[in-house]
Amino acid sequence: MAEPSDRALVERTRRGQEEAYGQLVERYQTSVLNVCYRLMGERQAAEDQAQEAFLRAYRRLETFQIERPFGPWIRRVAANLCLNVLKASGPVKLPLDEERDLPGERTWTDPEIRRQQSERSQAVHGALQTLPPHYRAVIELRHYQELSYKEIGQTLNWTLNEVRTNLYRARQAMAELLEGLDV
Amino acid sequence: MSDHLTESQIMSWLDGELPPAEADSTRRHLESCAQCVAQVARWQTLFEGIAGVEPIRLQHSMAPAVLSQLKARPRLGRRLAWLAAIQLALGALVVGYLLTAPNVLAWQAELGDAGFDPSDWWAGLAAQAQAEAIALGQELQMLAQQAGLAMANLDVPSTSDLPWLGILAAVGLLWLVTNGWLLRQEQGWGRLLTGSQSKEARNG
Repeated sequence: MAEPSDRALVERTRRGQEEAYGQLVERYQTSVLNVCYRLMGERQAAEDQAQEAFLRAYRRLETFQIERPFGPWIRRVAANLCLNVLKASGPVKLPLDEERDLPGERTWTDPEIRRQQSERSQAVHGALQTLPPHYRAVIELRHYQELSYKEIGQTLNWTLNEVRTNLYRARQAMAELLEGLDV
Repeated sequence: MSDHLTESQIMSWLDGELPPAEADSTRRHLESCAQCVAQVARWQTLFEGIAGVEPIRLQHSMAPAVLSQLKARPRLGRRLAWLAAIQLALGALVVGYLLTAPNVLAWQAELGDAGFDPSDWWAGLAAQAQAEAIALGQELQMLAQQAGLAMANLDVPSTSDLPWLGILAAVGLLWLVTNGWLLRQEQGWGRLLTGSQSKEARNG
C-alpha cells in the first residue's frame, strides 16, 4: 500500500486523528533534528527543540497552507524556534570536542575518505557553532533549507539588503574560520 | 561593470539572486576572467563544505513523545475558549450574587450595627482612586482639547459609575492575568514579552 501523502496526513490531523501527525513526525524527525542540531550545536538541546518544534507546528497547523509542502514549513518552524531560544539564552556555548556528536550513517566505504569527510564535516559544524545566532540562522536558511533571499527576509524579518549583508558576512566568517582546512 | 566582480556579486550570482541582465553580464565576465573564476571556485568550495555536514540521526521515533505531550497539552485555542466560558460564567455569578444576595446585605447591616461599614471603607478607598483617575482624565482631556483630538468630546465618568467600573475592572484583570498565565505556560515569558510568537505564526 502506498504511503499517504503529507497533505493527506495534515488533513487527517486537522480532523483530530493524532496518529496521522505521528506519521508526519516520523517522516520529518531527521531533517528537523538536523536543523536544530546545526543551530543549537548540541545533540540533547537539538532533540528537545525538535520535539518542541513538532508540538508548536501541531498547534499552528491551522495556519499551514495545505497546498504548500510540509517539509520546508516544519523546518522553518524549527529554525525560528531555535533562533528565539538562542536569542534568549545569550552567548553561545561551544560543545567540547569529546561532547560533539558522531555523525550518523555514512555512505563512504574507503576508511581514509570517510575519515577526511568526517573531519571536514566536524570542522564546518564547529565553525558554524562559533558564529553569532543570526549568522548561523542565515546560513541555515540559505544553505540547508535553500530559501531565496526574499524568503529568508520574510522568515527573519529582514530587508533584502540585510539578508545580503548578513549572508555575506556569515560566509566570510565561515571562510576565515575554515581557512587552511581544505574545506 | 568594473574590472572584477565583487564578492557580493559572486555570491548573489551563485545563489541565483542576480537580476537576469546582471547575471548574464556576470556569466560573460567569468568567461574571460581567470581571477574571478578562482574566486567563484573558492566560494563554491566553501558552499560544498557547508552542504557536506553529515546529518545526525535518531535511533528511535520521536512520535510517541510528541503525541503524549499533545495529549497532555491541548491546543491553546481550545483552552482559551474553555477559560473564557468559565470566566464569563464566574463573572456573571459574582455580579448576580453581589447585586441580589440578601445575606450579603444582611451581613453589611450587621457590620453597620457593630459600628463598621465595609461599604463605606471600600467606597472611600475607591472614591479616592477614582478621584485621582478622574483628575488625570481631566488633565488628558484638557491636553486633548488643546490638541484638537476627538477624545476631547468624551464624558469623564461620574462617581455613580463606580461599582460597575470596579466590577468590570476586576473581571478584566482576572481575564488578563489568567490568560497571561496560560500564555506563559505555553510559550515562556521571553516569547510573550518580545511578541515573537506572532512573528513566528506569521512566518510559519
